[in-house]
Amino acid sequence: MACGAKGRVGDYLAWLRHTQGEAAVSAALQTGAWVGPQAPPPAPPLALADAIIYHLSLTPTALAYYHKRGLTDDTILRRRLGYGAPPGKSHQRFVLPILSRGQLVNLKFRRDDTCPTCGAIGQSEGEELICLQGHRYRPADPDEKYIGIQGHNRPFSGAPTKRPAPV
Amino acid sequence: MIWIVEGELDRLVLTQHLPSDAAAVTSTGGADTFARGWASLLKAPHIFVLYDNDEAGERGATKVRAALPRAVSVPLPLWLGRRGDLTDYFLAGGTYEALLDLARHALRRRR
Repeated sequence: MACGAKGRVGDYLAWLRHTQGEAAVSAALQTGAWVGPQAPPPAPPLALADAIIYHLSLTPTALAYYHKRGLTDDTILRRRLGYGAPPGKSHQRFVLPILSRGQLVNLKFRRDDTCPTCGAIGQSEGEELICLQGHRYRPADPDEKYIGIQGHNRPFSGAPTKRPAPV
Repeated sequence: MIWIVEGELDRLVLTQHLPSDAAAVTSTGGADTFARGWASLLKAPHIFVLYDNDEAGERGATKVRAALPRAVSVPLPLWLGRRGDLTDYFLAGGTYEALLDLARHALRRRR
């Protein structure tokens, strides 16, 4: 396949099917090459074990954020809420595993929009953020508010690539 | 009873307050995301839409109701302000019982 990502052919075909339709998938399979518009290969799926590693990487600041959002320790523990950088990214995010019947369906990475001045939660106001104390700032993380990575139920996949430094 | 809320963090907060006969769901894709195909998956006598008190929330709730006409929008209390959301509601001391009252009121108004 033209995408050349070993082990990602299934994901690539799924993406192709989703964006271009079944005919494009058949054409790609027959020719062994994809000549359509280039798309970044989808991120490899993450496993439940990855979610647990993100959960174990929770920093006191991240824990405080979840508490400020009204979440109890029981919810944080049972839902394995975590903190860390998505694979291939450098900025730390809040990690929300989406589980269905105990299986990881998706791992959502929410941008860390806490105010760099006072640590309060920031809310979007146009391209800027404004915290509860009235500080205006731009998000340090240039990516969109949420990044979602598909989950799978195979054993540990090796992500995350970066872990926060111990506090 | 099913509550459709705007995001995963709202869903988690609401779930902490729900009785066992109610469920909270979200698209996890933000207020603007609700696929028509999801409507048939939501089977409950009452379905309430509880989005933020802002323009995106109103737009999103309209989109949900278009896909799921029997869903009823429940406006959050005005004292939360224009940008208030479900998390703010519970953090400010709001209760699930009061939320149910708002839902009953919205249901009566629709009838």
